[in-house]
Amino acid sequence: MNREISEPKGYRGKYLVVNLSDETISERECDFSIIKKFLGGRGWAINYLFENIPQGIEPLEQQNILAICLGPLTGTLAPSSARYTIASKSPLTGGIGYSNAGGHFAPELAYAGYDAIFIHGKAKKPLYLFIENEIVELRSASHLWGKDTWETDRILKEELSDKFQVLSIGQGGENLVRYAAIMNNLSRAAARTGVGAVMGSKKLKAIAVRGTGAVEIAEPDKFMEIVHETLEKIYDDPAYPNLSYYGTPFLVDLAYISGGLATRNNQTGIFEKYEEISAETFDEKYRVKSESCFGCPIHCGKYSKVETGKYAGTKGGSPEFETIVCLGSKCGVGDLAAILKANELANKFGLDTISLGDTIAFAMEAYEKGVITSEDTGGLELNWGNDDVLIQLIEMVAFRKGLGNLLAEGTKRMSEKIGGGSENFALEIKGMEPPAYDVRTAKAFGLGWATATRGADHLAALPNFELLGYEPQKGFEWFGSEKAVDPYSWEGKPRMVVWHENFGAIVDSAEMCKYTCFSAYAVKPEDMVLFINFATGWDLKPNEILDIGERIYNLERLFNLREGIKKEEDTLPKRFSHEPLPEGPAKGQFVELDKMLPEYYKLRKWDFETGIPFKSLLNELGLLKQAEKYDLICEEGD
Amino acid sequence: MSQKQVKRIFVQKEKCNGCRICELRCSFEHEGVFSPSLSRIYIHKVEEEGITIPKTCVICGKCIEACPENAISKSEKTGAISIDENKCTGRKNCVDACPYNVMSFNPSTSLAFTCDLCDGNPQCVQYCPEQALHYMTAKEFALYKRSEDSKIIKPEVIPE
Repeated sequence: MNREISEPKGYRGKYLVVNLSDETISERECDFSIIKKFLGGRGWAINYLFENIPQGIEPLEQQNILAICLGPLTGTLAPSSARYTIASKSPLTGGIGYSNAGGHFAPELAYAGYDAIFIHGKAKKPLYLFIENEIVELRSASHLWGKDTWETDRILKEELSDKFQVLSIGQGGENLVRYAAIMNNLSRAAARTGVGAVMGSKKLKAIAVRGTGAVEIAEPDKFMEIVHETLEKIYDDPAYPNLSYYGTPFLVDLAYISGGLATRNNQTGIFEKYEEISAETFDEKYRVKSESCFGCPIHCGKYSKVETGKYAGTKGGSPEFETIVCLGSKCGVGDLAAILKANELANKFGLDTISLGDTIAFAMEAYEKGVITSEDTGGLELNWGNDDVLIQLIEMVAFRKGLGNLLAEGTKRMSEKIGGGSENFALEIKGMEPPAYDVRTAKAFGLGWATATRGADHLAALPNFELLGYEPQKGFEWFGSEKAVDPYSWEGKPRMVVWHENFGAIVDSAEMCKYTCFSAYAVKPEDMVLFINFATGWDLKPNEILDIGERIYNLERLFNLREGIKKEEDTLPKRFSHEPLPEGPAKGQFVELDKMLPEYYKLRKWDFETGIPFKSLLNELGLLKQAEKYDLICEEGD
Repeated sequence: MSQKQVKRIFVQKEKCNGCRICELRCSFEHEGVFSPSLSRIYIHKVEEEGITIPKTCVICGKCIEACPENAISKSEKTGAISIDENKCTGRKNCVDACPYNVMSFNPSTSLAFTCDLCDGNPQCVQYCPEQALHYMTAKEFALYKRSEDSKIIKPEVIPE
């Protein structure tokens, strides 16, 4: 093997394979001929899952695998590079599931000397994984089972040392809530696609890691130069002061102004109690200080506290914009203290605040329309804005009590169960519930939800470009249409989404934060390639890393196709594509998905009838073998 | 140099958000690698309470008294603690004596290490995104704390 491939810097060169069924752990050396094709993080994880998960398994059975992967920049000064990907077959969608989180866990694992952990099998009794540099052990977690993520964090730190970083599931994951999250640093969540339920099904309660080693890079001087340049771009970004001071809650204000503040299960984009959940209110009443992920100059995370009133004593990390909307305005709740409490509970139980809030909002609309009644809810009155019910339901979901047992299945399964025409307002794509921003006011985001491999997902594409008020000329230069800068326009959006999806896959695989790359485009492919090259010593070209992104995206697509997710599921709930916004500045807007999808498929080189990537493309990307194995071959012109 | 004129690193803990960029920059400056274990500064954290406090050498001199080999002194140029690596025998008396847990020990070299103020240009101060660290004399810091410059600036929530 070529030396350059076998010994890049940046990576640690080792990973762990843990089998919970027979309680074995093996340390393996990285095969850089594979990693160079997928980079790390999300890309490496999907490749491992594609190779090792048998087709058609139930996501909560023992054959599923939990992949935890770092990237070549983890643990370095590359801005906001402390992220990691956790992937598995999703219990929510049945397709590829992955989630990406920040905090301080990923660099600690890097300093312990590992690039990834792949977890197979299922433990007989609750276990946790202990890692202290070269010492790796499976230990009993009987004393932790039943505890929430904060208690688990506290107990493990008391037993081991507060230098350990802990990743854990709460009762949500233990009880197999289909949208359970995996938490670290109390409020950092690998939340989406139900990875926490997979961890719970394996009876793995936590991973505690301590690393005292170092991360070396290939070209330190050049690396620091690009770090410097990027930091300056980040600090010069007009959105930096807001993101840095208020965190994502400032997006509540932007969503309101655009008329896309999702309200009452997206029945409207105007929330009458907007001021009570605004960034200003958050700052005046609850924000204490910033709370950063490791090595992040943006530090959008906030520490907040409720001092008085019914929810006094509530504390912890942020609520994010997504949480404020999904557990707030989508449920009609305008009491920010209640939302903070709901956020704290979701973090402690380990639940995805997006899917949780959305499923409750769906249930509230079903209650409003009489599809479910107080007989079904055990007497609970699921009225819009009822914060007492919101708080009660969260605990009922985590423990699958009463109505909570149904809510724990997510919107799609709940709708199938209750019927009564509820499919018309069951907001989900491929089984996953949608994020906060109402995409009727941002069409590229709408297309991105429909095409994202993990279901309704704003982060696969995150095409912020359309929202930043750029000059039309820039829209033409980047995406071939001056109208690309207009969020209401659908023109130029397919190209915008393809570009963002491909580059986004790289960002998630290098494990940098999307805020650094997509909020001011401080890191573009030509910058990212420098970070990767100077860290590893490789000599990749910008177009090569975009190829890696396209490869990752197509492999995820193949995974979904082989698991039976059909092209027809690249769609939007009717509420977004056929029900125009009823009021406000974006009144009349809906997502013209039919106009965008054909061009999207054409640009992707996917067959419009079947959604299968063309053979010629897969050949170029080196994915032909994977497609042939599952008979996913489609020639152009067939 | 009189004690009053000595500059050291002062911490404004209300500004620290716990990002640990200081730890990364420090280890890189001194060791050429990224490793918080090799950093001369660290962030003490209590996450449940939102506590993040940078801890680094305040040049109290307890380590100087504790060293049996007389390997520790104050730098003539900066006043920083200076460890003579030829004299250090790795007995860790200084580590035990340090009241702030900022005298560290590198097991691979068997030597103690602590903040050397980057020879008068501390990189943690340069890289802190929140200006929570200040390289000043005690008097300068006292004046700074009373000035408008020291306040956290709250931006307008301006819609684009």
